[in-house]
Amino acid sequence: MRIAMPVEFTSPSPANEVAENFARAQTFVICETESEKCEIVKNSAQNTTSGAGVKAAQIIIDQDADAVIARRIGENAFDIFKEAHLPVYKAEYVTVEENLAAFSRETLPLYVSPSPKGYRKRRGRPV
Amino acid sequence: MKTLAVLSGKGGTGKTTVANALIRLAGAKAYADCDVETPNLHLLSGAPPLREVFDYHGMDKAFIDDSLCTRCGLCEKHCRFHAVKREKRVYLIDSAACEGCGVCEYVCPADAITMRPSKDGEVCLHQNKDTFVTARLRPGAATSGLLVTDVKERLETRTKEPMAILDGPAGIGCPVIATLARVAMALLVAEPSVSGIGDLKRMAATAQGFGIPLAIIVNKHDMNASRTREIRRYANEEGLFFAGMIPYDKRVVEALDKGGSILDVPGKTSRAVRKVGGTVLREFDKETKMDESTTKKHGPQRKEG
Amino acid sequence: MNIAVLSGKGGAGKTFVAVNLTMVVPHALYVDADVEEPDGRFFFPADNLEAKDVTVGVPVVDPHLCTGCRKCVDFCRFHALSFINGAVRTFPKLCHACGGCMLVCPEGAITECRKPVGRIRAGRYFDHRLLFGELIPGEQTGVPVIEELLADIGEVEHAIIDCPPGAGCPVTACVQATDYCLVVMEPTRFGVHDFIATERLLKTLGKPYGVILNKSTSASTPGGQYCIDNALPVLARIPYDPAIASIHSEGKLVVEENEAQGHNFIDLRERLQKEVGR
Repeated sequence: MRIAMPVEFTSPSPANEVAENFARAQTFVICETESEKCEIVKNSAQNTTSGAGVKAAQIIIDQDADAVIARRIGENAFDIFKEAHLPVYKAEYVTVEENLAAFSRETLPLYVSPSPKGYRKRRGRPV
Repeated sequence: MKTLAVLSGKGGTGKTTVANALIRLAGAKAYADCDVETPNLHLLSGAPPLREVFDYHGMDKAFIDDSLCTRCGLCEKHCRFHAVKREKRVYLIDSAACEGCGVCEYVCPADAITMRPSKDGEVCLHQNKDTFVTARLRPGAATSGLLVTDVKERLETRTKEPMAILDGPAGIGCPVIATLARVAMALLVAEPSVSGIGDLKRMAATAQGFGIPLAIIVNKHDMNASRTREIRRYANEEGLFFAGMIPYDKRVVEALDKGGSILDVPGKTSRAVRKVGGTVLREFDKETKMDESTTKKHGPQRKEG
Repeated sequence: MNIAVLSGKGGAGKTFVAVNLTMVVPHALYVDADVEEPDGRFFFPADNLEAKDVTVGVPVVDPHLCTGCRKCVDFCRFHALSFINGAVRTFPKLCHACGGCMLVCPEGAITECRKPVGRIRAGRYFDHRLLFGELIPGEQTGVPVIEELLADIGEVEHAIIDCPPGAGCPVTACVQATDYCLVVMEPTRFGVHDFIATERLLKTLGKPYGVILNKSTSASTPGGQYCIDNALPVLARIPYDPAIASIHSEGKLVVEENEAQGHNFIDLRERLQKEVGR
């Protein structure tokens, strides 16, 4: 399986940290779970003015990735991955290696929506 | 970094005044002015010295090389933004109108049009023990949303502070949406008037989709007591946190003109601001703690080796 | 004559000046172009408003004609199109309606459908025609609404255009359609700072302008001083007065409720006519 993660590094290393932001990360690391080989793909969406999420998701899909692990996922990218049947997992650990290990143990939670709709209502609080 | 954004919908309700007071009350060491069209926070006292200036580039803009132009007029015909102007026989791009779509470059049979980077503004980093980021958008430039994102990212990468306060732009358009992205809580500064309430509601509607808890304060509450009650009622019905009220005080304007803060105005005004500010900051603390307990954002710590 | 009422700083009193000035200029058309915060409607209790949607064209791809060449996806600089599972998907929120994807599609598989981004309401209040523009919350830009509003003005003797704040692209769109700009300045340090940004824009666009000092706290303010230093015409001064603020906050017209301000706005009209006539 090919697993994609946003990172801020230009050479792959298991100690690389997963980037905070998906669409505006500097690069993506794509890891083969069988061979344990990793490659780096430049994120040309990083500095785009409009639709970075759409473009970044397109890059991942064109790389034939099978799954994505990210800290945060925007609405547009989420929609694209959903349509492409690419599962997006929440990065719960700091590094690429730790998250890959958790992925293999099947302990990473799956994103079911990009972010909750509507502002949070407060219940039973005096106003 | 957990951020608190100060917004309002309507302009001139006192966002910057309130943001400045919150920065002082919280002892915040990281803050930014996201009102990139009309930034003001740097005018108040205590802004750290300017350290670095970064150019901001928006969309590439079209450029016509007149020596290659065959005057066919296809660019003018296809541009939907009326950005191609003809002066006598020369075709020119009005860069204020150009949205950077690239259609003219595509249709030009003579390859006379190229898309080139255009400087649309600057991001200014101010730093001593505090980190303060502000920006200037070129007048008439579009794409201010990305400049806001740039400001926020500079702040996040230049400091490890756990909390930051953002002074937001007016309106509900793209700069506001860019400001709202990923903030932990938004404070809406409302004005007790029919228009203030109309704008407050539109602002709350815009915040939908961001899943951000909203708190409301009323500034200049004694200007109109019945509209203040209406805002309170609205907050109650919508489940927004009503944090308190600040009175109308002529001396605030004078204090700000001298580079001071609303906290420097003695008497009931600064007392009210301290009280409201304290309530807002306590609520912010509660929200950010709640956020941490429901999501394992940072996860278990790094393994050895 | 078309007059743009603007200000750098939000809340300086654009709507206040625009609605009250409209009332003292016979037959003047009022245009609310502050589409992000459309507040003009609160001051004119006009019923029977006629509403219409403002739409922009967004692409629709015919999957039977699409061959998957991805030319449209590669062309779009706004990334409003993507290619998933052998088909093109569109993101209307990102679309700027440039029409490029239709041009580059070799199969003619792309057409446009209309998507509403805002609304324009038209009405009357006594002898005044009214046009209110409004952006749908969550939409990114009000420029299409402003452009359609300006086109709806048509041939009129006098139009007062209540502009958006700031000095960005929506303001440029408004100013380009006018003969004279009335800049409302809050005479504070913030107000002066934001005024300078607006002034730079007006100089770039080559439009004549005059200043209204609103919420003047005293005879000497940073704003008043700026106008003296730069020899700018100050067409009116409105004091910082809780009574005025209170009338306005209820959605009432100050020229109808406060005699002194009634005279102040008539004086403004006279001075404005002289300035524009120059």
